[in-house]
Amino acid sequence: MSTLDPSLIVAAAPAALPAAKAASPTKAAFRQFLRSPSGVAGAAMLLVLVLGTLFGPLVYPVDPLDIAGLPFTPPSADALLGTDYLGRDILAGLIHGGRATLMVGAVAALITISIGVTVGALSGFFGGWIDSALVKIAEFFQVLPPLLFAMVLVTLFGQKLTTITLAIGAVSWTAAARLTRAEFMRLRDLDFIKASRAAGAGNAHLILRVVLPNALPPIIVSATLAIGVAILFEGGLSFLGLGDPNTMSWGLMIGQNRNYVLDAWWAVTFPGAAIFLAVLAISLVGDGVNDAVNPRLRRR
Amino acid sequence: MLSKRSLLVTALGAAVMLGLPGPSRAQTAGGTVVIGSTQVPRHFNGAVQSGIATAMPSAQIFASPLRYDDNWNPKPYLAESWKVSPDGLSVTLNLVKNAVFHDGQPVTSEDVAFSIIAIKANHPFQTMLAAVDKVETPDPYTAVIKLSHPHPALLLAMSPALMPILPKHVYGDGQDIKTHPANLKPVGSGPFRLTEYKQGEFYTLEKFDRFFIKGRPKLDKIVVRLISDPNAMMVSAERGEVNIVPFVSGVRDIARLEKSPNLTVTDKGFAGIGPLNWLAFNTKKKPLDDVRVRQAIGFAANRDFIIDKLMGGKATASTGPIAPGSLLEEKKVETYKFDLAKATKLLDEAGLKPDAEGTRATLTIDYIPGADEQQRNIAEYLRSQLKKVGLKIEVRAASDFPTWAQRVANHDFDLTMDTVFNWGDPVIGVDRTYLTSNIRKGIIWSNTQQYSNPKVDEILAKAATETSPEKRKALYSEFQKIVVSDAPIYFVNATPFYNAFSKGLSGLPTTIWGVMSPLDELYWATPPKT
Repeated sequence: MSTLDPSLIVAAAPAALPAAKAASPTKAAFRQFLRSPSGVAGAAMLLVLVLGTLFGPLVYPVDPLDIAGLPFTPPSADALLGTDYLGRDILAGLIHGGRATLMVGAVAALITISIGVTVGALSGFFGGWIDSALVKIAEFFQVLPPLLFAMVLVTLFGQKLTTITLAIGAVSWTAAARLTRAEFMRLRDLDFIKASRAAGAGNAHLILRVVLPNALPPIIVSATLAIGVAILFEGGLSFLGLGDPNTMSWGLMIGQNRNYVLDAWWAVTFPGAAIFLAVLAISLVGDGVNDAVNPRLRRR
Repeated sequence: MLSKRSLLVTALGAAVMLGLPGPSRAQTAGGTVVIGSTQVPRHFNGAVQSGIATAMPSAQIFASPLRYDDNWNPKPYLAESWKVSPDGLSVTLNLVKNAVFHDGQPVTSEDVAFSIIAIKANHPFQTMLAAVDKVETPDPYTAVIKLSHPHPALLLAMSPALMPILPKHVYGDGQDIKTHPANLKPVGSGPFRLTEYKQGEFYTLEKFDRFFIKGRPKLDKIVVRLISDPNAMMVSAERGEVNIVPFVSGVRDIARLEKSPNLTVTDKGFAGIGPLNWLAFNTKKKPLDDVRVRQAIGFAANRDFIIDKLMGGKATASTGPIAPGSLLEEKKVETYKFDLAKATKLLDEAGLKPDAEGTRATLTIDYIPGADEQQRNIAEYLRSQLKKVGLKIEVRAASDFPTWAQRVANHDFDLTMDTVFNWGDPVIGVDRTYLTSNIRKGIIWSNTQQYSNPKVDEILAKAATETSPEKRKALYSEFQKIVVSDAPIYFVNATPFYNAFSKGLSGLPTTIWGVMSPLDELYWATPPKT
């Protein structure tokens, strides 16, 4: 047993997949991704949005919480996209608010995936009572309506962007957990895992270095989509009046302006369109990634 | 802000009320009026419950000693005449002799005495009848209220909204009046009796045939539909399914109802409530304990912008603790006219130096959730506005009313938006906000600002017992000047309350108590087409 180095087997493991060709799997996947027009379009849109929210504030340094003009100014030379019910600049809101929205989306998705993968990996890998216990916990979270649960958390712990982000993560990890668990259960009995175990690999090594890399493709896809879901979630919470009033975000803009939609269509339409485009872009990227990491498609 | 049409209707109504020969005599009685209300009453007994949800039906079901016109003049109601003794220590009521309760029992001085003591013991407005020692009943139609000190606010406290006369033979059975079963099946002597209540859906008030004023009420029936969704309410009013929408306060709702060709919209009928919308300071917290900082915030805020731009010009400016529309309002106070330079100077004097980022202090602001236009929007406006003078404001949202009330009642706030009603006389609704003795932790709408000025305490104590109207007005005038300059509160506006009525209705309730007064004069001048 001691003659075999487990890391050799790890290196060999991806190669055991039928998809592997001469090029590294990452490069192959990337090439496959570039072949999907919708994926590329999504990535381009996303890039524009991210760059816009990163560098926009430098170009357009109007504070989105400041009153920049008269309330309900329609889109005009004074305010390109108009002002809201307080006279706050909608364009500034879009640019600065996008930062918060995309950040909430990314961080909440990260939390979702971290919790989901941890729980899913442990329960899928070990099975038995650990599995039963973790599945019970996951079921507990699953039967609670996620939006309602998030509302309760935000109400309890305050309307802060961090609370909102954590709440979204806390309520939406179960899907990722189920996915990871299924992947782990499928993989743990495959021959190369058995071989690795026989070579003396410990549980931690097996989970992190052997099974996880092979379970990763569907998880990456689900992580991408989780960003979109988290953005919608933030919008939903803000729509219900549970946004962070001190940080401008697209969701907050919609939530606060929805009562005035008949007076100022621009105040909800533009952030609404921004959320729509962001989620669409992320979905397209997710589809592209899905195609790229799906071995059956890759061979076409 | 009555439109010309509605003025005409009101004038017509007044003509009929005065008994002038009208052209449409035949149409002055009968019919049903549907009132749409967002206010769900817990019960119908205004003797133990304040607030507009109970006061509106309570004023229909129960009669009171006096009622008021639209100019603060008391009018006979259950008391056909009344007399205040020269020393101000006793008030004699001579009751009408033909008044009966809905169950046929006569209304006597025993009932009046019982009710006044019950209200004193149970009503949330503790100062309202605190001066009452006892009520003597020398004969069945005479009640003499004995006071420990002169109490001029007593006459206003005898309004329908505040002093419903309860039947002693129903409520005097030893049960706790606050939870008495009759609160949901009330027996009063008012123009209407409650015939049906479907909890949370509607209640029906039908004409009481033996009401003691001849020829009243004119309507056969009032149905109050409880509609919680404001949008559904607007649609129902526009379609004529609801004939009266009381207490509309949303600027956009008001504008929308004004546009409807079937409705008359008026802001008359709220002088009694005197609803004020303001920014309160925690005067015990640094740096707000410095009067200059509070004044600076007043100068930095632009009241005109708030009223004209944020509230669409639908609200009235308010500059002091007594609401516009009250005869006691003092207009000649410091108005804190928008002046950023002055605000900056005051902050400098107070020693609040801007740091590297220009921030002098960081403060939080709270607001009552659910009333966006009057509360949240102003809090957000102030965040932007006060940044200009170097005050960094963080808006603290509360998810529901109890959360906000708990913070403010426990003095856990820096700045907060708040709405407080005057309830007619300062003794009833104003003093509570400023008296040192009313700094009571845990109680909302007490002196949560923790404002304390011995001079103000003294003036308020004197004014509460001052019987000469002129001297009293002078005392309250001084009080208002001091409070405004001490600035425990920055006064923003009178909450815009409007009533909408179907065109064709006459005898509209435009008195100081509006719909919280008996609707016995209301009738269809032009009945709705069915």
